[in-house]
Amino acid sequence: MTDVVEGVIAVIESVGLATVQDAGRRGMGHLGVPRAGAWHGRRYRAAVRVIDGDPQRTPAVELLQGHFRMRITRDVLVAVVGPAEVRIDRQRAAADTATCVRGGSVLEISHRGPGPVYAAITGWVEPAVLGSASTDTFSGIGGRLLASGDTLEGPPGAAPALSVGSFHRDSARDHGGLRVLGLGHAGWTTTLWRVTSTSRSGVRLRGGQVPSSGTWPSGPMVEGAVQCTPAGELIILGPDGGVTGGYPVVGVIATADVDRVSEVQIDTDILFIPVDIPTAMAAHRDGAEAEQRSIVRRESLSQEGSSLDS
Amino acid sequence: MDLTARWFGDRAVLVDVQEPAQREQVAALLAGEFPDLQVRRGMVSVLVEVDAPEAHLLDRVNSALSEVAVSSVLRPGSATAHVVRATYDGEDLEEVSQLLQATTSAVVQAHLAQTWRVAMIGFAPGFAYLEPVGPVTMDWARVPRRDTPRSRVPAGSLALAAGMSAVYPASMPGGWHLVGTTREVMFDPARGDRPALLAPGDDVRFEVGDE
Repeated sequence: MTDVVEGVIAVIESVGLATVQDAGRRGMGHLGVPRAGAWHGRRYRAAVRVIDGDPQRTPAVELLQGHFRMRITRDVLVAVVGPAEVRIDRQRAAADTATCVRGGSVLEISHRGPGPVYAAITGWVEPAVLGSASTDTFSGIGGRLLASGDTLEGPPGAAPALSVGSFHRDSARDHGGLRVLGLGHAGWTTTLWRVTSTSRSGVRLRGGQVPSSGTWPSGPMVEGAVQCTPAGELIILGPDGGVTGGYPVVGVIATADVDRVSEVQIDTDILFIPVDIPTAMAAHRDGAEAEQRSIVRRESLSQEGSSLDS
Repeated sequence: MDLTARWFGDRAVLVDVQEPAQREQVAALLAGEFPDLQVRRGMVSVLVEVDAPEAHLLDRVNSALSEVAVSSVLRPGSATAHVVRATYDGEDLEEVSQLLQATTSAVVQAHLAQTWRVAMIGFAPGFAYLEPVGPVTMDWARVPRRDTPRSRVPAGSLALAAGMSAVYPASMPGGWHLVGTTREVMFDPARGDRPALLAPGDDVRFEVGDE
């Protein structure tokens, strides 16, 4: 191939709605800087761990909608995690696994939903801004919204001698709603809410029983905070949502279900399920343990194989 | 003083305070007590946030709070002091002076004479909410937010609303009254360990000048 530029790993040909994300910025909320980072943390970490990356700092493409296509220019391992159809040189390929893609091949990812899809690629490096390569779509800090013609780059190096065949086994359960820790405003969780818009800044909902929530002096916000606007709309803050806000907060989504906020779809009805602190803690613990078990390494499979051989 | 924290989701607890002096005390105490946790200020609250749910967070914060002593007045001079040079050429200065029932020159003099404290940073990276501290030189609370926000306020705009001052760190939509401009860069991600010029708890005075 004559058109390979040193350091270029992939040339993007078609993008959909795609940004660069990692685990995001931590500890800068007091300066007004939101976390940003992968909207669906569990899927991001799975994509990165399958290719033996760092689930804090290894960049991944976050695809929220549409069709993403790129030409790979040197041999790499790729992992696509999330609801997508994957093709390599027009042949169907598996998601949720580390796949070797040869230089010159075209990788296509069609978003199917619900929620974000992540693609991690060995050798790809992105510059960090305030400690992270993630794209904050609200303030514009860091990362980038990918466009046709953009390249993914990394230091020149040999093809990875890596675990092709490691895969991700998703064991997350759907609880039929978003579990929420209420803040004393009864009633609003008894009715369904219709999703009217969704973005990394926040998911907006209407049509439920509006809580009477009074005034709320401007104060700190957290990801998953459920705000109630004077117009009776709910906003669930996402990773790019502001770190302070002046709307009353009627609840906060349990950490175990924060990823699920990225999966809700416009024009669907959402049920909020009130839980208490011990329940939320237990749900988080169960989810974290399941996540640890969700990556199956080829090495462990081959060890089982060799013990059978001997 | 009876201060208690309450859960704000499963990764954070919130402490409601009565007034700014208490907020500064509580924030300083908690930041000192828990250097590994994220402590963030609201106007009348302090939030303590952790990366992952932690069952003992509420008890830890509440036992630290039992040490807070009573203090009534927030005084200037206790924090890092900044001087921000500004030009009072904002397009709402005339309207602001009408709201304050003073001449534009009296408003500018009062604004220059006022010491401001960074109550909290939010809305956008580096957007500091500055509240008057010490002797109040004018009844700033008479200036509300604008009825109709501007779709774009230039970076460096010095603004007033809801009894507070602020400098827009970047070009963005905004509903505050514009009274001036500054060339100071309020937020720069490339500025090493201090991307935001102002930190919560800092004091700010404005001076006339364009350097």
